[in-house]
Amino acid sequence: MLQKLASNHEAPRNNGAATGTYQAALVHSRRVKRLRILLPVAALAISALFIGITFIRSYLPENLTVQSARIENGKIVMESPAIAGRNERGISYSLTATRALQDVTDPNMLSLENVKAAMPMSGDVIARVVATAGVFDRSADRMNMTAPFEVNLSNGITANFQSARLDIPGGFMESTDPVNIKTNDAAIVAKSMKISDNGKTITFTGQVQVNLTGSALKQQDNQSPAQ
Amino acid sequence: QSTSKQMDGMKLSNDKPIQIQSDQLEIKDNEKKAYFTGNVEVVQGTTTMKAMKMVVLYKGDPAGGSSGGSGAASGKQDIDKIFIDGKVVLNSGQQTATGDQGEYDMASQMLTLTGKQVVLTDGPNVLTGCKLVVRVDSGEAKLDNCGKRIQILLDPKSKPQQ
Repeated sequence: MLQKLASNHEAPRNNGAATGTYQAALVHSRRVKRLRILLPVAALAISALFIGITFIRSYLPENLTVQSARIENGKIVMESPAIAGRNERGISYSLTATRALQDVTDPNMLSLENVKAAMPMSGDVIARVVATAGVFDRSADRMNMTAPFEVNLSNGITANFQSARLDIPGGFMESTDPVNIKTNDAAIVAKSMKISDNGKTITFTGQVQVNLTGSALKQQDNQSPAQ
Repeated sequence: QSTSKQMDGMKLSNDKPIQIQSDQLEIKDNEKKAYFTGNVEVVQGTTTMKAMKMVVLYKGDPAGGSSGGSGAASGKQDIDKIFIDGKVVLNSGQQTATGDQGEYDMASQMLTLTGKQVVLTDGPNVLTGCKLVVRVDSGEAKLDNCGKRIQILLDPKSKPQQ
């Protein structure tokens, strides 16, 4: 840039050449004017992009994998999000959904659609949860089931709930709406239910009704002394 | 002294379904216990038992045992003993027995009802003592008066219902 300026400097003595160099100077100053705007704008754009990426990266929990994400009227919409991890006892838990919506203003809350969760309970019993809707609190790994859902425990118990709050790694679940639990020869119905200390304590409250089929007692038959 | 009576009604058959109702049920898997509390009512066929509290002890794998062993609701656990507490009323057909506590041992099929006053009414007849033992599989019942004299109130009109 400087050498060109120096060369233009000697040219003014012969008139014809003067207009040429003046033209070149004009062109140059126009280019400078353009660059004076373009360069900062480009810098701004790049930094905005950089901030955006780190911003979104910080939204998504580390162990969350997402197929695709897009922003739709103030909400980040994620396709088939999946969260997996291990709780303190090293038993893995996982949670998948067909869609997750995250409000930009409240990053911790993910409202999920068609949820499937696998939750560790006591012993090596795993609770599988299938639900149409739920709100996942990312900061505490807690799930709030807002629609009726079903839980299948790997030891043969199936449970139907109207709503519930789940603490996934802690193995804690509470439902303040009617529940019913079935196994092959027993059924329990109650107004509310709470599972705590990792499934070791299950408390039903409110018009509890337990139906044991005859076979539930049959095992005792062969043990009691023959008449 | 004790008198024995045949209480057919008190028979608990092992194949008829049992329904238990209560205000609250707490299953503590590591203790292998289920606590029914508040207006407990157990119904099987024509026999009903009411009490304030009932604790069911079940055998089954020790806590954290094999995969199957968790949760009484899974039904795989065998009921070992049942403790009943608070205004116990055992009713079946014509016969009713009331007491303060009760214990039912699954293996021996014996239901023991104890209390300051255990009252056994059989139709119009009323027998009072302090301990009633019923063999649930045969229906045979023995009322014991623990040393005190047994009070028996027999209605002259009542015919022996054998």
